[in-house]
Amino acid sequence: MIGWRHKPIVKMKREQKEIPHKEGFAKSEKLFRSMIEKSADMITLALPEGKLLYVSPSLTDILGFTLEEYQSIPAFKFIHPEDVQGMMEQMEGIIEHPGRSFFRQQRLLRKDGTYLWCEGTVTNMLNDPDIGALISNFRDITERKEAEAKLSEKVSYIEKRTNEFSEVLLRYTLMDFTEKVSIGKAGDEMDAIAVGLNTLGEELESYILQLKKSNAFLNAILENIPNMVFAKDAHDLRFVQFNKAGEKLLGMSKDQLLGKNDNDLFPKEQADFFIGKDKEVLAKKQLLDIPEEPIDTHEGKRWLHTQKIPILDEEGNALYLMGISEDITQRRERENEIRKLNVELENHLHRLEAVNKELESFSYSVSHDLRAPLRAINGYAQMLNEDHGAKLDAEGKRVLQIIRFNATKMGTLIDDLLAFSRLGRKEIQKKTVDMNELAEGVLREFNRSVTHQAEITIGNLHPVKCDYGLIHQVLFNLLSNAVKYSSKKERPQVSVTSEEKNGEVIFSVKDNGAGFNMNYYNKLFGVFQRLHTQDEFEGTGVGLAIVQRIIAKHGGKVWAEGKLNGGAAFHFTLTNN
Amino acid sequence: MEKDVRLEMIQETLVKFTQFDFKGRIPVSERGDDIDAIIVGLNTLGEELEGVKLPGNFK
Repeated sequence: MIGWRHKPIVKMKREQKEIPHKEGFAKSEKLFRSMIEKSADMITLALPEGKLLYVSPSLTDILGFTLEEYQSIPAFKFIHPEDVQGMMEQMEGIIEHPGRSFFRQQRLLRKDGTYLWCEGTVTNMLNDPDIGALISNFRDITERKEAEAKLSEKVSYIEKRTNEFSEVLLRYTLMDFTEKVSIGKAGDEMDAIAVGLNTLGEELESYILQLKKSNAFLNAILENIPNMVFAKDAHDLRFVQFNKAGEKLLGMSKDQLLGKNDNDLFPKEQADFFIGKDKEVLAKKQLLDIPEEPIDTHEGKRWLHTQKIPILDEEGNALYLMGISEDITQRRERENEIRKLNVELENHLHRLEAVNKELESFSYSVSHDLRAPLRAINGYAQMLNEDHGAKLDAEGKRVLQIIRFNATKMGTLIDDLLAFSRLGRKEIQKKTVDMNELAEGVLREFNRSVTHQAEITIGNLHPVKCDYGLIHQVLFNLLSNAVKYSSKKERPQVSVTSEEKNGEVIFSVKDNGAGFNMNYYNKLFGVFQRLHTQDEFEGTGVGLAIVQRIIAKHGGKVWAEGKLNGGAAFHFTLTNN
Repeated sequence: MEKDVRLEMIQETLVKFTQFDFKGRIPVSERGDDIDAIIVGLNTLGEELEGVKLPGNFK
């Protein structure tokens, strides 16, 4: 272990030393030699120039070299090349200072060519007359070194992994989940964390993707809503969202609107109104409906119907305020026009009602007043026939007969007209009516007063709310018409049915009689209007007019279908409420 | 090497985050080592993700 000193320092002459107590020394040397040779430590005695004087048996056992071998090769060759310089420097530090020593760790060559980590001390005992050498005492520290290396490896492994994890976590925080950490083969906690991080990254990546899709979908809906939709931050009431309709209405782009508040965009009076409503919504935390609010836009003043809704977090704190505004300017104008028209219409209606009343009153009094002279005509014609009939020739009697026939007919007409005009004055009194019972009553009355051959069938009729007396009249008139116009058929057939449709009950009276030409349909329900001659079928032409008037008074509809010689069907609607 | 309880807490928190429970935070020790750096990163991520989950974030 020598050769670290190139200049000679001291000349030691052990042989010149006196040995005062030869026996005692021999005993002592034996003791120490025995201790050294039994020791597991590797002990050497060396001269400053590097020559080894002694190596302990343990050194030869551990490293494999004998004293002779050490003495034949330069000392530094037995030290790892990387450790030689350090050894020489430390040796320089003690060589001039007897009694001084140094501690070091270094690798020593083994005979098999490998190196062994050792630590120990080198002490300058050159001046000791009993020793006169450098004593080195080293021991094998391979296990400790290996443990240290493992520890260091582990520390650097953890450092490497944690750095990787920190980097990925930073990316995740920036919502970038594409990066993944590597998973080692150790299967340790670090790998468990790596797996956890990667799983989290995958989950979040997929979640964010879904969120983006969902946002894109919602955004597409929002953008296409025809009403203006906006959102404000609940804290400073600045706009954070506007849809296309909002941009169009206000004539400004999102860039111009977002980040602004009402004061930035609208006159003070309007801004104060909007902000006041916003605060009300946020305080009450519930929807607020503002039926009409004016707003200044690039197209002038517009009127909006706005609903404001607070958007709350899970704890109920307001995050945003959402608004949906419908531009009701045109509707408002139309409504105003309709309101004006309604007023005008109402005035017209009042005038019309007055005229109608006058007309009804006139027709009533006319028909009523006509009856007296008519009775007189009829009466006197009868007297003329009875008292002076003998004086009249055949032509005279025929004329008198015609006078009486027409007077009678005129009486019937006046009676019908009176009945018709009375309808105008009569208030209808609705109650729920069993139409089967009503129809049976009509049929009984009809059969008592009219002789006919018709086969009349009455279906199962729906009950309705109506004026019993008036609807009795309707059914009587229709039934009587159906029987009359089918009387010339070989097998006259009449049916009365009902069906419920769209909340209404439709009653139908059908026959297989003479029918009518649909070209003259518009005359069908007119007063004194007839589609057949008196010779064909008797009648005054008031029956259907009465039917129509009664049904109209009930709020129902009347219509008919017919074909000349192909039968007719009359329908009317009533409701059961 | 002694088992570090913080590593277990990191694993538990990662599992919770994967289940979209972002409320958990891990206390940072006084060691200030690499594991603590991960914990700080994880806590920050938790705060960010809690923000993303807020309803009404329709921007």
